[in-house]
Amino acid sequence: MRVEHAVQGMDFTQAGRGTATIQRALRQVGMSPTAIRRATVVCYEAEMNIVIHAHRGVLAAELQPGRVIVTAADEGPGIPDIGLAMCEGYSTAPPQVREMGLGAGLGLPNIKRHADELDIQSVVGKGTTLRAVIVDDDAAGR
Amino acid sequence: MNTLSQFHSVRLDTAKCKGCTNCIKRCPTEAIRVRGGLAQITEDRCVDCGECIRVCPNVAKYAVADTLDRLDEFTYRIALPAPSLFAQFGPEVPPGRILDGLRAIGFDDVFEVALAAEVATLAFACHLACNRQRPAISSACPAVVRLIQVRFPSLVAQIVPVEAPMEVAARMARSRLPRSVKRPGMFFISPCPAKITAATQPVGCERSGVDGVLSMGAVYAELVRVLPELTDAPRGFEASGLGYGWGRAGGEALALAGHQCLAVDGIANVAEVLAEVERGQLEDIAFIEAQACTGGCVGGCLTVANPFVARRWLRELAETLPPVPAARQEAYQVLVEEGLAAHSVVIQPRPLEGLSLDKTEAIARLRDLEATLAGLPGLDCGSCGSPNCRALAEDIVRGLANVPDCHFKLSDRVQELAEELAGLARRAPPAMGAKPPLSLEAISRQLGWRLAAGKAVPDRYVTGGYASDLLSDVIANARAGQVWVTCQSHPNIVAVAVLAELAGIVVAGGRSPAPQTVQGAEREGLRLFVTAEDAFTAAGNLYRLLAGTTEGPKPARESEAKGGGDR
Repeated sequence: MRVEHAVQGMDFTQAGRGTATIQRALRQVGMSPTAIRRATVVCYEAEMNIVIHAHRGVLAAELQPGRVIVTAADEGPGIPDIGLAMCEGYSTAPPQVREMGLGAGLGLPNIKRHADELDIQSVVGKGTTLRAVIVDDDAAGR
Repeated sequence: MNTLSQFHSVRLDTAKCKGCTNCIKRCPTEAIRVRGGLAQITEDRCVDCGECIRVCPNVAKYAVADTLDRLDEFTYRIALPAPSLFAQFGPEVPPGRILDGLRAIGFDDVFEVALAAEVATLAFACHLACNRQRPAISSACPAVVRLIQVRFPSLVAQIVPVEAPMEVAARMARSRLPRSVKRPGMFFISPCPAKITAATQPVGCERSGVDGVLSMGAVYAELVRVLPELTDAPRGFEASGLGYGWGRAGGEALALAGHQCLAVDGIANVAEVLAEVERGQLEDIAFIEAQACTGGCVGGCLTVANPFVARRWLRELAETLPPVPAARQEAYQVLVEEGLAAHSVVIQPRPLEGLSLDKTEAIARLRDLEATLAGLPGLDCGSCGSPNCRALAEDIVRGLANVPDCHFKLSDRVQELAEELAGLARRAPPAMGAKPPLSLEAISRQLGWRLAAGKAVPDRYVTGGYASDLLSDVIANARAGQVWVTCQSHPNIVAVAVLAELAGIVVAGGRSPAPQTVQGAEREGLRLFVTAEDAFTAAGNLYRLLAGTTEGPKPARESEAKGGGDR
């Protein structure tokens, strides 16, 4: 089962809707509250990354028994150095976004901390595709 | 956990409920469904916030509180008035007078819950000092605590493990009693149903120290009766402005000044802030004061005064009162360290059940849910008895409702059936009175169409009519054997009619077909008519004429297409 939501770059008023849609689906398939919390953080950070950095993108969740695979695929500037982007505090967010208290360079590290698997593919000038797996607690034997 | 039977103070008066949809749409946990004309509450979901009581136009939703008769069960009765009680009267009635009034209506003693709020403030501050998880969420509003258990289960660990002032007050009052007192009764005077539930089925302790809960509205009615009779100077009262401030939104945050606090009131607003916390935001906030009622406790649905007026008065009262004396603060420190205010039971999450306990089945049902939802009108009208289309789709997937419960789906289905019935009726055999099929010759004669081409083409029965000026539409949707009514007169209409195997063309509006069109029709063996009537009238007349006729025998395709000669 796939749930997806189109995300528009710089549309801060609608940011978080995709996350809420996925969160509701995870509740309905009976994922544990703590796993939903981790998936929620991953979705929200990924959704905000599209809003802040990309032109447009799609936030999607593939629901499978015992886990969820979150993908955030965008058309945007891409990430030149993914290793650097994974460092806490490194950010390329524009100043007006930082003034909103966002773009502090914590997004990707935060995703990494809350996901069980994380893969980022990016082509400079084209876009970025992020794929994160969150395993449900009982499935992971947590 | 969900199988435990839940106590709820919010109830339905079935005699008054009209089955309207006001409450189902307002409930923050979508706990209500209208079934059989009655708004039934799903117990697992209800958080006793009282929104449905507030919104019901028929006063069918109510809270079960204890009555003053219950005072007779005890030999020593102690009133525990919530700070919001003092905001129900204007500045002309000082707090001490209200304490006098409570004694006059049958209580032996009064313990101000505002004092317990002072202790809770200290306990909250201690928690914030030694626990670093941010943000900590206030435990003071029992409706919010239950909302978190049900809708935000991953946040239960962030609720401050300190009892609400009501419970703390009962414990403090009990500890102050002289040994000689036998069978004391603690009666909380509540602004809301959530606290009635909290006293009956507490979440932070095994058993509440509160013996009964009275509705603030009921106590108010008693007080206004006795207050005019009290003429002595009002007695003193103990609590500070900090404690009384807890009765309004922002009071807790004010009491915890010095910490990074955020105060939110109104249950929908609370849910939005909690969703923010769940997304990993607001970690820079130390403490969230969250109150289900707009305006805080003064906005509770069992109160009397306008919440905004009450809120202002309570603020003014709080500002005139002295701060907590140092000696009392030290005594509180001891109480908090002894654990007087602490939860003795860990609050458990009570997440709503998924669509199935089996994960694979749950995912399949979610797919069904989305497909079902796509077929619903999306008006969220609530007339099916579920709060919105998504909730109905969920109810359908859970086997609690059916698609025709949607009024619009039902009416679509009725229309389909009606059309099917009408079609069957038209198919009655000629012997029973149905009109015989009509030929092109007969139709053109009856409707006064002039033949422009195809005089030599053999006459044939028609299967129906089609009206359109868009050639691609005709190719796609007209059926073989129909007569085509159009305003177009250029040669391409002949090719289209041949392609769609139509019986003939009527050019409406008095237009004369171009010479190439006439030649083309002759060549293709197609009857081409003209009429002075506009297309609407021509199509209408044709429709009326054909209605109720049976379809004529279909001519063989070969003879039809080649009638006028080969290409």
